[in-house]
Amino acid sequence: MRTILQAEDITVRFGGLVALNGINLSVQEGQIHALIGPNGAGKTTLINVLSNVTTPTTGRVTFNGEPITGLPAHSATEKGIGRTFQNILLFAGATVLENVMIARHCRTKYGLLEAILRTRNVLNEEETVCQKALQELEFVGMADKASTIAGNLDHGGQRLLEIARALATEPSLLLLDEPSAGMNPQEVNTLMDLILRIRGRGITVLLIEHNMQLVMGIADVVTVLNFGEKIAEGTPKEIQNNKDVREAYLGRGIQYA
Amino acid sequence: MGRRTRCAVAVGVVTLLAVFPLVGVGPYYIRLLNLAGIYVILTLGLNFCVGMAGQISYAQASFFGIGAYASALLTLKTGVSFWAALPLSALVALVFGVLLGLPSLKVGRYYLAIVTIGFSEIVRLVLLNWKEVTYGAEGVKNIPVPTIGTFTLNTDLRYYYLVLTIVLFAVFVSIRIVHSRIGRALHAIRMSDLAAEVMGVNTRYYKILAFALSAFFGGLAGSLIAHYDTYLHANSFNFMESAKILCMLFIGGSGSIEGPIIGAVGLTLLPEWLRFLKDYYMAIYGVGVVLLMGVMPSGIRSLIPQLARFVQRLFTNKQRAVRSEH
Repeated sequence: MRTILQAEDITVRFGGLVALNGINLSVQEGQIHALIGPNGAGKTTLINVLSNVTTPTTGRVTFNGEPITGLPAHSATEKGIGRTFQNILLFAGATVLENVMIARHCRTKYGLLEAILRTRNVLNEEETVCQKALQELEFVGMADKASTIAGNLDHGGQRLLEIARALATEPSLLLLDEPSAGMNPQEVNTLMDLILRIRGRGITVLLIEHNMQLVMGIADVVTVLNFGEKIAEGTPKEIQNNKDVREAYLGRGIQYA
Repeated sequence: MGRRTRCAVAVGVVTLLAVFPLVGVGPYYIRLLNLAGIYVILTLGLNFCVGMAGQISYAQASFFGIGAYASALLTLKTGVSFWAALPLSALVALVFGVLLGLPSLKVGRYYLAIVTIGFSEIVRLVLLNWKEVTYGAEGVKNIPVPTIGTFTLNTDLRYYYLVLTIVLFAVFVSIRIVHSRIGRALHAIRMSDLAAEVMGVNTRYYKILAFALSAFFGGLAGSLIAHYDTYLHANSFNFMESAKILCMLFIGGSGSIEGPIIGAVGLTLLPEWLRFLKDYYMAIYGVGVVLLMGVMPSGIRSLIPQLARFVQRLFTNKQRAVRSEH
């Protein structure tokens, strides 16, 4: 198995607060890798570092063997890191289709002059944009909602659209920040199936989740963060039986003499 | 609408605009139409920055002024013809647009508005006080009128066709940009900076591009006004002028193509139609603008779909009436 993403010694400080403290993480190609931990453990901060939204105070990230720390976020997307947001960040006023079309930006090339002259190249690229966008909507099961305004979708629909939009950037690594938040059990089942199908396309998935049914059901590897530090890593089985993880979530048991 | 119908509509509109001033419209109205056209270019320009990319700018009048001065001074001092000065002055404005775009990378929206106000004051003061170059408070006089061979564009009607050509160019470029990856990127930035960036949009580049396009259109309009009025004064390119262009954009409906056109033409003609109110006309005009914004927050353009439905119903009724006669 090949390492697709390697984060070494990542530390992030916000003023006096240490959000992440010397985190090492390596994600293997083709796996579903889950990131869990109590609230405030630094999971979203880590995703922000990996997608170059936040620059770490120290440490470095390599993606496909190439250092990406310090690059602007759009070049991380270009290199193949797609992501969604915990607090859904759609283009709410645009239609569902337009949302996904915008995501094709980094996979199209034509410039201003070509756009004004509308060359053959432009027409070809625009046709591909539309096709690929529709394909991704089909993939997440939203093709029938293409002309709905994104802000009018129900919560589950908005989460799925975020995933479709991220997929449209053609990522080789997809970062999902709490994709199941606010979903009902039925929607969670659909989501689990969707994540497995995403892996089936050869896309590596790194996801933050609080839903243990989902994590234990589909993750290949689980990493546990607490107070900005990595406290455990292993298969779902190993994590379930890990003493430190139980303490982090439930507190220390009372010792009876 | 299919490609055929759209082409037919476009040809129809252009023919109408070309013939319109020939049929009994006095020079006063043609002058108004020329001014309206110049404001259409300015407003379509501002639309890139404010309407599409969501970057508030109070500096459109400054680019108007920079273009006007650049064009006037180029023709007067270096003797180049208007036809060379027109694109050159737009490029000069574009350079300043890029400069003003730079702070937009660091400064948030409301603060950016303040930065642009500062910029526009600086531009006005430089134009007003740099006597050696801009003739200072005297203004620039005797700006040459454009000529084609021996044909001089020295009447309102002749100038109308020049303005119309540039307006059509501005509309064409705007339409092509809106319906491209560039238009989508700009819209994405307006809706969410962060989401746009994560979707692979180089938000820094596109913000600066939006300012550059705004300034380029501003420069074109400036060159047109300079050689039309043949006289320039720095104080015409002040903050109020920028505010007026912003009004045109929002009243027409920002972010679209038809909105800025409606706004610019409407707000140029409306005050003239209200002149019979004498002393009160500006007050009534102001109240009208406030009411319009209150009733139609997304601009007059929001009436278009309703209007289209109305026309459609009218036509289908007529067809039915004709059929029942047979």
